[in-house]
Amino acid sequence: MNGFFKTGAFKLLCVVIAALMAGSILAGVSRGGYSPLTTVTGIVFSPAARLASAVSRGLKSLPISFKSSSALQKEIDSLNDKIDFLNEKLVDYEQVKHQNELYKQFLELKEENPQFKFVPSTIIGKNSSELYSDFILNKGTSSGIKADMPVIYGRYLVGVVGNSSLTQCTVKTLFSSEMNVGAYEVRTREIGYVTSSVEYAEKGLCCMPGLSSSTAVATNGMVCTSGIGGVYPEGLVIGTIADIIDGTADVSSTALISPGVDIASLTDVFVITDF
Amino acid sequence: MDLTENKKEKIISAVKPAAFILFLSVIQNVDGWFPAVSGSKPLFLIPAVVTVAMFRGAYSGVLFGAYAGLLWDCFTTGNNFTAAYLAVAGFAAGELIRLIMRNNIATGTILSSLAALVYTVFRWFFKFFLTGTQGAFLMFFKHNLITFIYTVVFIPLIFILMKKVLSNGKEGAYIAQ
Repeated sequence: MNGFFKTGAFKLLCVVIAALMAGSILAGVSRGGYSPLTTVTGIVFSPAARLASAVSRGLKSLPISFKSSSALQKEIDSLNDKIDFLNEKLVDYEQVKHQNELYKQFLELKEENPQFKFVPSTIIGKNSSELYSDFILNKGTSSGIKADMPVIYGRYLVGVVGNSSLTQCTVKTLFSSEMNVGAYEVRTREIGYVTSSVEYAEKGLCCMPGLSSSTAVATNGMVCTSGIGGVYPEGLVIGTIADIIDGTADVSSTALISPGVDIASLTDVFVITDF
Repeated sequence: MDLTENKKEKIISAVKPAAFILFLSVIQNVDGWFPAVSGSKPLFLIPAVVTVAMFRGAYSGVLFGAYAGLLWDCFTTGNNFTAAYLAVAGFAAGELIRLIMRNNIATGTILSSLAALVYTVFRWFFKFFLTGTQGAFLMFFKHNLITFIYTVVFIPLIFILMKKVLSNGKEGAYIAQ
């Protein structure tokens, strides 16, 4: 047993673990930061992740069709080619339309709030061991992105920056149970906070708990950020109320909120770096 | 500065598994490279590290485990816990093969499954159970367990592919310690 602890591999393991733990402690001390080792790895390998992300997007937009080699198939093939061509155009059109809509909403927000500073960013990956939260953006501290900065899509709040390294950052979405966003319902001005749980996230919902049982908040009401707490600016749209449910443990009610944007299908977002 | 044949071979034998691990990290973590089943993707890096450790020994297991873990950490919260876990898993797999186990696809599957199970349970325990997340058990059965099963399905394939990558085209050329 004594010999086991004297092996080169065990000594190497101790050194590696010590270095990794030192990195973890440094990451913990610099709140919201990545460990230096992960930062270096991120810098070295982020081009590979970006390239892979770009290839994946390219492949998604390719119209793939399977063609037979029979004589009659030629005519179908030619028509399919035309359909493919038109589909490609349609995909381009939809993408441009989609992007145009995003930039229009974004422009409105920028005009209403000229003091806002934004950094556009692309989603390059998702944490495979996280189901409802955490995605990775291709910008980090080198672009001025730090922990606790709000992430939006158009006028809609998507989440908040969790950790940030030099070249990338992690975003916690509205579906994360770690989210606590100061919010209010637009019609009744009732204030509260928005969070989520596994059950709600699975249904694509977040929630606003702690409303009084006699609340005037009703379905289809819009929920926006209240600005309380200073992490999120006031007036970002979180979503619309899908249902009101009564609490089981007390007399309070919970509003279930359907986020205004389909978070799972996002590819580009904006990070508000100053407001 | 001419490299000797021996050095060249050593460099190639290190670069090939490193490149394969980078590729696995991409398909595990980048969207659109591998289909997800109810939001879960297989954790390819765990069997990859275990296989390297089995064929190259504990020393390589630690180094490749730390490397794979750091790549994985880039897509998580940025601390080094996955790297530390994979380094330990690499060391344990290497030592178990050296001391008590046979090196074949069956033991590879058992060791990788065990490593994936420990990772899945620990991650769920610390991230959801200890933090008192609402619906933690639902999370375990609807996501973590599916991730584990999905990983186990691909362990033999990763074992075979990594074995090919490590073999350098020569049968019995695995152990380099």
